[in-house]
Amino acid sequence: MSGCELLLEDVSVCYGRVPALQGISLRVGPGELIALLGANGAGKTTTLRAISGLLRPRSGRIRFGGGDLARLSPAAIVRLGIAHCPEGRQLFPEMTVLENLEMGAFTRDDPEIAADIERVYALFPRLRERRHQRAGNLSGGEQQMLAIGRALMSRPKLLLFDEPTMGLAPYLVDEVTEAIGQLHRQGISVLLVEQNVHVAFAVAERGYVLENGRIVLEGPIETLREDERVKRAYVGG
Amino acid sequence: MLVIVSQTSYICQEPGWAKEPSGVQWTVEIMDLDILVQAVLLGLFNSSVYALVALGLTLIFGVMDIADFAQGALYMLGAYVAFYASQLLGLPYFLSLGLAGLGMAAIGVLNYLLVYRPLHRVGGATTFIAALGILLILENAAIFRFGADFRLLPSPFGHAKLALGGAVLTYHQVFTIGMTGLLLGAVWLFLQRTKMGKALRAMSQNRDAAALVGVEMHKVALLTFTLAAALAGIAGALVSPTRAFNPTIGGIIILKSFAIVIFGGMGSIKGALVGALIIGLTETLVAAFTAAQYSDLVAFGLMIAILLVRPQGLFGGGGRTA
Repeated sequence: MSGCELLLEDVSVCYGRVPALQGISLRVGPGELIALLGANGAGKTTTLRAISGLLRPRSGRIRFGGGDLARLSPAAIVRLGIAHCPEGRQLFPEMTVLENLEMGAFTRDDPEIAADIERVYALFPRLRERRHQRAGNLSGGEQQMLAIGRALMSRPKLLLFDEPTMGLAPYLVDEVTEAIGQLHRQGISVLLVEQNVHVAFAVAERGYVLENGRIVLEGPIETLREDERVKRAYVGG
Repeated sequence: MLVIVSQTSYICQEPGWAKEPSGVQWTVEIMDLDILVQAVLLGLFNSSVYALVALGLTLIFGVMDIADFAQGALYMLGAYVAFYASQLLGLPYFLSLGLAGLGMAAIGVLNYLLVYRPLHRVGGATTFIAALGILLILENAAIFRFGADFRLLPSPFGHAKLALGGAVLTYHQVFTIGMTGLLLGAVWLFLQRTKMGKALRAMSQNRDAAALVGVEMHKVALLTFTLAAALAGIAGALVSPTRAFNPTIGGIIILKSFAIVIFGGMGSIKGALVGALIIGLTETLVAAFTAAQYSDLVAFGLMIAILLVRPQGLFGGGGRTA
C-alpha cells in the first residue's frame, strides 16, 4: 500500500492573477482519512481540483505513488487510482443511475464491473431501487449516494470528497458519514473536505486547516477540535 | 408541372390557388386533405435536412460549447463533392454520398485541430468568430473554384415519383427521408450503446464530471466533430439532386439549423430533432395554406414565441440534455 501516498509540496494555484493556494503542503498516507478544514473561499475545493487535474498548479509538486500528477490529464489521474467526488454531486442528470455508475467505471475494461455495481448497491440499497431512474430526478441524498458510488466504480486507492453532506437531512448526513467510514475501513485513503465539522471530527484521523490559501494548522483531529482557529473557521458551524 | 426547385414552390405553382381571392373558395382549399398530406410529406423531407445539420450542431455545442457555423460550409461542400464525384469521376451516386461524408469528416477534424482546439482555452466568442470565418472562407473559396451558378445533380432515381394517395414525392425525396431515418437511428444507437457514445453524452451533460470519471475530452471532441461534419456533408449530398445549390446555401441552412438548435435547447439532441420537425412542417404547412412568403415569418415567429415562454428552449431543462 506504500504506492498510494499523496503528497502535496508547496503547491500554488492561481485563478488568473488571483492566488487561490499559496504554497500548501500536505500528506495523505496510505489508508489514512484526512480532513481538510477551512472557511468558505479558503481554497479547499481548489486543492481537490488541483489534485484531480481539473486545475493546473502554477508551482509545486503533487505526487501520488511516486509519480508527479502536475502534467497529467484528469483521465490519467483517475487511472492512477484517485477518484474525486465533487462538490454539488455533478452527476450526469439525463442518464440513469445505472448509466452513471457505468460511467464511473469508464477507465476500466475488466469483467468485474457488474460485481462492483452490486457492491455499490449493497452499500446504498436505495440506488438499486432507483437504478433505471434519471439521476436528475433523484433526491439530494440519493444523488450524493450515487456520486459516491460513481467515484467508487473506478476502484480508487484514494477518494477525494468535497462537501459530501452539504444540504442533506440529518439522518442522511449520518448515513453518508457511515459510508465514508466504511470505505476507509476497507483500506481506501480519504481526503475529506467538509463544512460540517461534526462529520469531519467523527471520522478523520488528522486534519489540516486552510486559511486564505495557506495551511495554518495541522495535527491530530483531537487537537484541532480545541483550536481557536478552527472555531473561527467555523463560526456557527 | 412538378418542377421541384424548392419544396415550397411546388404548392404555390399550382395554378390559381395562391391567388384565389374568394374567402369561400379558400375554406374549401383548407379542407383539402391531399394538400395537407402533400405539405406534411414535403415538410418531412424538409425536416430531414434540418435534422441532420442541427443534430451535428447540437452535438458540437453540447460537447464543446462551440456554435460551429462552419458546418454550413460542410453541408455546401458535401453537395459539391457529390456533384463532382458523380459528374466528373462518374462514381455511382451512392458512393459519392459516402465520399461526401468522409471528405467533410476530414475537414471537420482539421477545423477542430487547427482552429477550435487552440482557441477553445481562450474562451469567449473567439470560437464563434472563428467558425464564421471558416464559413466565409470556404464559401468564397467555393465561389472562386466552382463559380456562383446554381447546379443540380441528376438523381439516380431520375424523375420518378411516388404517389401516396393524392400526394406526390419524388423517389429521391423518399430516399432522403429514409436515409435520414437510418442515419439518425445509427447515431442514436451509437450514443446509447457504445462506450464512446456514452462518453459523448456524459461530456455534454457535465464536462467536469466526465473528466473526473476518466473521459478524455480531446478524443470525444474529435469524435464529435467527425460525426457532425460527416452528417452535414451527407445532408448536402443527399439534397443536391433535389434543390439547386450554389456556394451560398451553407449560410442559409446553418442559420435555420442554429435557430432550431436554440429553439430545441442548446445541446439537446431531442430538441434538435423535434425542432427540425416543427420548423420543417411549419414551413410547408404555412406555404400550403397561406403563401410561401409567410413560411419563414411563421416559423421564426413560432420560435420567438416559444423562446419567450421557455428561454432555455423546448428541451433545454436545467442542465444540458443529450
